[in-house]
Amino acid sequence: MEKERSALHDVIENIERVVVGKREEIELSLTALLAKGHVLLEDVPGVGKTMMVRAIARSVGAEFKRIQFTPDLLPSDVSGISIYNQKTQSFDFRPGPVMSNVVLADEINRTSPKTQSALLEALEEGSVTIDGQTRTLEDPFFVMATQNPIEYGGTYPLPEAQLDRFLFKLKMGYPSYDQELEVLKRVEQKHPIEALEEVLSLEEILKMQEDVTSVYVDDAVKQYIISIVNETRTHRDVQLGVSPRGSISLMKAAQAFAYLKGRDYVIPDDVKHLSPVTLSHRVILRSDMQVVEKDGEDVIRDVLSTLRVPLTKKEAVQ
Amino acid sequence: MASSKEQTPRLFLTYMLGYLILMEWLIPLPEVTQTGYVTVFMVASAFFFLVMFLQFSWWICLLLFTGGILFGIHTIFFDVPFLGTEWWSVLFTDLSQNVQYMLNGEWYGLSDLFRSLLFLVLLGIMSYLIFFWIIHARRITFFFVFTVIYIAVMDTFLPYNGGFAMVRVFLLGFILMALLHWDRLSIHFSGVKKQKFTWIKWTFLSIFILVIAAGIGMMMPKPEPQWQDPVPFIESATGIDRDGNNAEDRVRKIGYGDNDERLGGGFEMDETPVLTARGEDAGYWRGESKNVYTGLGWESDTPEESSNQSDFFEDSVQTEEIDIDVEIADDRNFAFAFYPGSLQSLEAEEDIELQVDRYSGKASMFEESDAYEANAYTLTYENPEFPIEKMQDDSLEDPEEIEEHYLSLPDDLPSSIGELAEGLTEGEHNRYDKVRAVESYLNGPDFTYDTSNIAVPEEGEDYVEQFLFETQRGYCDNFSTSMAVMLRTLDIPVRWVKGFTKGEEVDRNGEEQVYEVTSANAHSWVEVYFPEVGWVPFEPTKGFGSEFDYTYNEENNDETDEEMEAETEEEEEEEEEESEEEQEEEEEDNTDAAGFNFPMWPIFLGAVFIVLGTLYGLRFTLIKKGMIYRFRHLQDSHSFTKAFHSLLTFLRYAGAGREDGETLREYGERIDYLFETEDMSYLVQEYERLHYGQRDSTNWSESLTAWTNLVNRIKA
Repeated sequence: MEKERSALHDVIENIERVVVGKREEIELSLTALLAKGHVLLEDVPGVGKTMMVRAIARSVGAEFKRIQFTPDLLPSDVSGISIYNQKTQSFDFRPGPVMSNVVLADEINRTSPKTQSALLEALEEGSVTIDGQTRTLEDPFFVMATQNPIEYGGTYPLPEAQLDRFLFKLKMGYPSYDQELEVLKRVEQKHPIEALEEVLSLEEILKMQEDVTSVYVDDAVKQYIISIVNETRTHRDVQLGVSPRGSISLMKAAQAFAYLKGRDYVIPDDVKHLSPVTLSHRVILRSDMQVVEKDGEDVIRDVLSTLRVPLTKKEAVQ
Repeated sequence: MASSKEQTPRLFLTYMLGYLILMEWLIPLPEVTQTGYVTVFMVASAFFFLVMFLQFSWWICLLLFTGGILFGIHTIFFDVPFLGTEWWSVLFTDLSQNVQYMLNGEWYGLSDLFRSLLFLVLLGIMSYLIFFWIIHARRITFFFVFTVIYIAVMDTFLPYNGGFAMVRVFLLGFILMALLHWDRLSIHFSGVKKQKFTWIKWTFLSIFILVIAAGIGMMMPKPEPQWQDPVPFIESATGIDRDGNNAEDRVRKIGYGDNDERLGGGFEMDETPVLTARGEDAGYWRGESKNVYTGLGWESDTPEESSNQSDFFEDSVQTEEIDIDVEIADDRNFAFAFYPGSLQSLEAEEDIELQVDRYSGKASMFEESDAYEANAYTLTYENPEFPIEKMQDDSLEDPEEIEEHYLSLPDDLPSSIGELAEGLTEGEHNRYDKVRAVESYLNGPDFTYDTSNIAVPEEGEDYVEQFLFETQRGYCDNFSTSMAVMLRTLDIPVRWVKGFTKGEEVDRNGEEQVYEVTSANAHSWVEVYFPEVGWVPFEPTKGFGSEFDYTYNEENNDETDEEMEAETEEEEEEEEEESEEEQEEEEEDNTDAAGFNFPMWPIFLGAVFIVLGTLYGLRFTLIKKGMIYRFRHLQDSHSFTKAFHSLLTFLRYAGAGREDGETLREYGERIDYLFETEDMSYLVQEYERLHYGQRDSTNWSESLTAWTNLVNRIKA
């Protein structure tokens, strides 16, 4: 346990050499990786999204591919295509960028729904079907999709129902003054990403993903998860609350987060910490909430602040 | 303490308000308990408060407090130089004597000096408590609520009118609470403190709101009380039968009658006024005395001899002459005068002749040899103070004349009465102690005061025997007759006196008091003859406090007159206070007057208050001790869980409870920050491991240490 923890700690520190002041986001991304989930990054360009994904991929020795989504991108550009080989007189399969361990799907909302669903199928099923043939994706498979929240012209925002294919929705945010200064210093000569070394092997990651599933979740914690989810369903600002898939995701994420923190049991703090990023994109607010600029995260924080955290099973039942 | 220099004026103001509220406790005292020199107590309290505020080191405080207390009693009681040799000797004599009394439980014997001393100590302690509440705890609700209750009780059950006091206390209390609240706010939100003069704004806003609220409250029409006067309610709830309408034998109306030949039977209360008296002081109103007990009642067989004044006391009795104006109620006619003490002279509108019977003391009035019924008169009487030493002197002989008239008993008096009297006075060697023994027996728990359902002796039955051995319930006639007869079996000359109790104080105008005497105040008691002292009244009736002054004469007669006066005054006041209680009791037709000595109650109440206050002040320490003791053997997960949960409960009580939405870790960090430890986080981790991780700790002793440390650090 202690060994894994320090290994993961090393990974975090390794990534931090490239990404300045984003410890929280790095931890959450690793949590998603361990929980076999995927991450939707919603932020403006240039705040280091790509750099983070690349750093993660390098640290765990994974193959990294990037798909820049554009309006004319075709599904086959994502999943791959069979091309007739005249020499062998047969169709050769050319794997698409999705056939990789770590995929960065940049500006996913710029492409057509058809192409989007090709990616989303891959996220959900862990496989793609090309020319009637199902091809399994790499293992581990980790997608980070980005979405630009500012530009709406000519975009196809992901439908709310499909957003819950992502385990977390994160925001990067601008660095602080000091952090930005640090960034400038680091890239002054040579970009540190080039020097980044592998800290963990892919096999180790796979083993960890396996271990995460055996992290113990007490009934009190499960009940806490359910009461949070239930609260979102009855909240006055919410049109559609979190689905049971949301509760499952929250529990899985909590297991991974506890593992990341070196614990083999989940505590309510894990749940509370992960709830905003796990649940905020799974609620649909009433349409008038846009006027008051409330979003899913506000609702979740509202629920968390009023819901009493149970100490024991008995208390949770009450 | 968080007082910096700029805060000092505010703290002083806050503390002053506390002082003013304490003063509301003292203000009713002169009116209700007739405590004198209340200004001395007020000044002393102010001094204590000042000393507390200046925060000297503890020994200087103690020194100043002691000095203040001693100077306080000096101002009231002493005329000799302060702290002189003589001064100390008087003080120590008094103290040692009173400690003796206290050890023997003779509370009534405590001198005024000693009681004042205790009271000053009490005030000193109060000043400390209030200082603690205001400056340290910054909470005053407890004291405030108690003050309100105190004034409410004073107003409801005693002649004190607490209307304005209540308004004052409310204003002071709420301003004080507002200030203290500001204080607490500024501790929690330190930003508030930085803004200069915010507290002044806060204060003025509070005062403004309060004044508006109070003003509206005072201008609003006030409906009649929704509740009845609680006194009758309490009576009915406790089953006290006021009217006695089910008396079986004969029911008379209470009042003053001439015929006492056949006593017994219940009577109805009758509140028609008899007389109104105005003067500095009054006492039991004496009508006349009788000397022959018939077995059924009292008659008189003394020769008719009279003079122009009554002569009850010999030279050894110190007396004070007091004038009093008496006005007889319109429909009442008496051809004789009622008077307290011993009658000296009487003046009415007409020029009248006063004939006071030498034996019965009945003061008949004549206008040119016709009986005269005066509507109003002014009388001068001697208010006596009986020397106990003299009364205890058994070597003196009774004059023959006394023995002749005041010792007779019916021939067929049951011997059981004499035997009882012998038994009661066994071990008493002088007349005074014997009389006291009989008196306290009748005041004791065997007897019940009641005015209804009182039996009349059957044919051949003795009135006293029936009361003493059969019914043991009755009213003044039963008690006084029994005492008189028992004493006569011991060859002590005694006579039976009837008249009225002092009456109800209905008004007070500076020194002058107004008493209203009604038929319900009709009363009887006894007078015992002591050689060289004279006729000394005693009060055997249960529920009626002694109204008469008996004193020990200090042996060192170099005490100055003034000092004596002060003491006398104090004692009189004490008597008055007793009598007032008595009136209340009589009015309420009290059936069960506990032998509770009234003047002690402020001290008793104070003691209860101090105990409660101390417990309240020490509550944290006590809870901590209790918790630590309870969980001293912490060595398994079950007891750890319990200990942890009780810690959470205690923290909530201390105002640092877990908030909604706060996880244990967040809470643990907050607590650690608050109490500057790391123990709570440690405990939380252990708890999590236990409950969410299904593990057992390996190191319970460390958990216990952390737990104990944390419990010890918790403060409000």
